[in-house]
Amino acid sequence: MQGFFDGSNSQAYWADPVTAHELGHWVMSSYSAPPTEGGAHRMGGRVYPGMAWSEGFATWFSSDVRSSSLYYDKQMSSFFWIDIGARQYPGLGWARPVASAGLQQTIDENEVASMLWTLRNSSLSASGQMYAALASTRMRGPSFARGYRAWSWSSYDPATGNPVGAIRTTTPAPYLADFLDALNCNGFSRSALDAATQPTLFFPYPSASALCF
Amino acid sequence: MNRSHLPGLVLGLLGACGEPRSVEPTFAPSSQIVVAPAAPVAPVAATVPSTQPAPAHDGMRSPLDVSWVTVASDDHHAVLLAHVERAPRLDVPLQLTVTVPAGVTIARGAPSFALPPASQQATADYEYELTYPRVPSEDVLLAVDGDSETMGVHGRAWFRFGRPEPLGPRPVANGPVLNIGGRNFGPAVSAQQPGQ
Repeated sequence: MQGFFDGSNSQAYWADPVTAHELGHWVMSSYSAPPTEGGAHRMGGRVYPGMAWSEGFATWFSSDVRSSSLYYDKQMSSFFWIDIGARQYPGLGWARPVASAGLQQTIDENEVASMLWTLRNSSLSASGQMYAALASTRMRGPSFARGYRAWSWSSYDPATGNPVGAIRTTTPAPYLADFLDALNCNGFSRSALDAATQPTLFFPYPSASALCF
Repeated sequence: MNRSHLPGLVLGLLGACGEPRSVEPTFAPSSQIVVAPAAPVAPVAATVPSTQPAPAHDGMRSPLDVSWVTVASDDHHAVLLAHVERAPRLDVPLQLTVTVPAGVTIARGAPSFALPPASQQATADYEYELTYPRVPSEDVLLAVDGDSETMGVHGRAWFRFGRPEPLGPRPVANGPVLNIGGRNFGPAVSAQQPGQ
């Protein structure tokens, strides 16, 4: 494996969480299937489920391998840090999912990372189970049980951070609910899943009716 | 690494079964639970087959950007704008501080002050006038700092009196030559701790 990082004075290479985050994308691409959904985004914005899964997983992977919920980044003139375990951006609001909006709602990528962090901390074996689920047959495609199709966009609203001008493609893509199914169908604790998603209030993943085959 | 190295890889599938389903994405409506309004994205323009490769990764943009904008500058005097750009609504209390080298006087502009909330002004310029008997050898530092219990942002920009930005330490390819699969990748870059 080779990783290429910008060697300019941006100096992003000093931020280990970012390096590990990018490695997380490689892990997903190598052992699972990337959602082929991505583009401009900023902190606090809601993005489509595929991108949220890709970025959220990568951020969680970074935290998992470092055993830290703190994520930080150096970009040109600035440095910032967040705590994915705390679920707060002062003023920006941490937009949690809304149960009534269904599984395929737009979602903050860091909310995905936060749910995965909660799952990871549910037991000593959770992390290993999560990697096994990531690499499971159902997560490698080319089709995915939840039937999600990727979206494409090129910019976001600077005021809200939400994508604009999105176009839906016909490309099947995995997202968080597929991964939760993979965990669930492999015997992951349903109470732990519910504790992470809080389905009646936030992400409405139905742990009692997973799509297993 | 290969797939067989992943711990606990289980291909057997257990649990309750259900019918696969395909549903349209939904945009989360506003909710009293949600701290920030769950804003909808733009309407769908079209449904098209995907003929594009997977998009390149684009990292999460920082919620703070700072820079110096030079309005005027000569050997004894400079007028600068401290440009501060924050993500709208970012509510981490921020302190702006300007540090000048010896011999430089801030003739106009506060050396340090608390920025107003981003809800009032996400992008702002603050004017500074500097005087000096001669061009100093050190730079003028603009710093914007703020931390809460769950998030922090820190911005830095330097006014260098026309000098180029100094380069940081550069990697040196002085390691063993790397040959993989018959390909010569040249000398490797040694991983060293700073100062070694």
